[in-house]
Amino acid sequence: MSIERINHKLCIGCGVCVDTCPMDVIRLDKKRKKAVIKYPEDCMLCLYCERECPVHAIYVSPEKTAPVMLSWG
Amino acid sequence: MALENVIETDVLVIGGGMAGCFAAVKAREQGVNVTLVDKAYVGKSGATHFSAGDFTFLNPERGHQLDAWIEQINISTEYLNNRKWGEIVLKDSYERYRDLVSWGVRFYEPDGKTYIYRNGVHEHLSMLNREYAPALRRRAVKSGVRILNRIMVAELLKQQGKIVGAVGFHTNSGDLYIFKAGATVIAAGSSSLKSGSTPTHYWTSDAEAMAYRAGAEITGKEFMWGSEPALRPAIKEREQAGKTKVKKSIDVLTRFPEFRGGLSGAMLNPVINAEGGPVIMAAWEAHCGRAPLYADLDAFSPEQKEWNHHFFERMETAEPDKIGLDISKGGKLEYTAGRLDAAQPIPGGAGIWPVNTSCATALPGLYAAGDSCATMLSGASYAGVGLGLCHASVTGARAGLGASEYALKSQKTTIDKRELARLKKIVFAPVERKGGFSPGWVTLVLQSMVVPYFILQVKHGERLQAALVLVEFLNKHIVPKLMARDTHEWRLAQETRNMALNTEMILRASLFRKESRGGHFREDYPRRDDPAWLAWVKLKEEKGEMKVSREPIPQKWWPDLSRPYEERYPRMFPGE
Repeated sequence: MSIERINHKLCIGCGVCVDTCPMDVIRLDKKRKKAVIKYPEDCMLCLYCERECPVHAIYVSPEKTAPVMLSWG
Repeated sequence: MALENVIETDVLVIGGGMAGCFAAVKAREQGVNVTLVDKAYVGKSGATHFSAGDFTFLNPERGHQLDAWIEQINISTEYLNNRKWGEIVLKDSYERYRDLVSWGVRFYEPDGKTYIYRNGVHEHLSMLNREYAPALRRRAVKSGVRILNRIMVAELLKQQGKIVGAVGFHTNSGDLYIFKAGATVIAAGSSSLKSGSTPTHYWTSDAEAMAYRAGAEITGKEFMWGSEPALRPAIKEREQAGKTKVKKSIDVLTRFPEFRGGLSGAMLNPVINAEGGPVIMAAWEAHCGRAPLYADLDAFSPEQKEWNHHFFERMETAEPDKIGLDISKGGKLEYTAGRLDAAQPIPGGAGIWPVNTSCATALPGLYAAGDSCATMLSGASYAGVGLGLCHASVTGARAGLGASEYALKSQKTTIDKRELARLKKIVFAPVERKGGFSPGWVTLVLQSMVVPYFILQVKHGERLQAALVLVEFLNKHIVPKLMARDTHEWRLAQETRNMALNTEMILRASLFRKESRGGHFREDYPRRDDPAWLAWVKLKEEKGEMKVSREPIPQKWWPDLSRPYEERYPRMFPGE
């Protein structure tokens, strides 16, 4: 789903987003010391990474990237 | 090359939420060593962290009466609640509240005064949303609990009929972990299908599936959280008020139905259908071609407006900001099923069957707590906001004490090498396959088989049977061929396997219960059938087959059968 961007100009490689994400969407690139979005399809739009990032480097879009299965539509 | 770690511990706790942390802390207080594992990060993950934080407890200082509180649950959960457990949970709840306070948990206090929510005679407080899960973690660490994050426990270790530990893997490194435990507490949450808009993708039925495979009994699977029909008086009221004008989607506030996770905690009733009429049951309106549904914000009562105001204040939710929604402005808000889309069960009303008041399961050495433990505090529907976390704290504490007692008495067992090799083969299967099916695809297929409302919400024997044929096929022929291309996908494969098993349980339990009640509605049996179905449906593996059985509730808990049906049951199913 919908985590879209981690701004590497702002990212300080603290790893809070990596720890915070319950879905293991974000990983730390050890060489560049920056957080990278590794599995965006597993994002459940909880927004916690965006909220916890100390430098506001993360943007989560409210739009889905893959269709969500609903009971009716 | 992946490492193999063997960890010996007195008490192993699987899951680091409210239930797991209480279990770990209380066990540690008995002097045993405790290892707490979580497939994500304790204090930041899981249902506990994502809950709004509501905590119900019986407060003698406020003159709360146990009998009145229990009676409300009897009626609202349609008599399938276990009253004995209801009393235990409510009696223990004040002490658990005191624990939380002493552990540094703060409660919502607008204008400096603790806000008290009311639901009938029940009252509850709200823990500050982002603080309480980290506080639980800090307390566990302070007690000397060893926390291991990002470890997906895949199977329980069983020897001579007893649970002696578990096998899991690290979701990043892929290292194998073999836990040898004197006793195990499983507090790994509830179940869902990763579908819909509520962010509950962590609920993948891990606890039930592992316990089921080890031989435990599971119950409560047929009741869907959020599927209860409306109250008779409310429907009459709406009918009398006449139809609300809804211009086709033009005056609808938001067109992002998929982004509704946080709002599912808000009071979004009253709900009206596309024709502006009252909603008896959400899925039924869709069935009759009257979806989409709307929350009519202008028709909110002052109480509902107050509830929503406080909900958004304390949740610090970014969601309305993100989609430009101002709920105070009024208007119509498109309503999505939320929990229903994800096929979630009732908190405290589904999971592993406990056999005593210490939350021991039928498997010696295994204890269950939280949403994984089916005390049936709630019966056929949820007893009310705040009881889930309360139930988790009480069962967690009891399971922790029970497990530590058992661990102190149990003898050290050497793990049978053949059994371990057998489990390792099953656990490693997805990463060892060269070809197979991706967990993402299998999950999508599983969702498309049962998420459409006409399978699990507006049920019918024919459709349940049809879905069961397909889900059985999935479990027999597709799930064993799940393939993981990396360690991340390895966890997903495990979760998919558990979700598929959970789905078969829901379908079999739904087919077995030939009546409608609470969160279980069948078109072919649209009324409650007392006293025949005043019973719990249990599932157990026997000789490789899923066996379904009935356990009647004690007769003294029956409703008064001489009272008219409409009086016994204030909620009205379609077609009544």
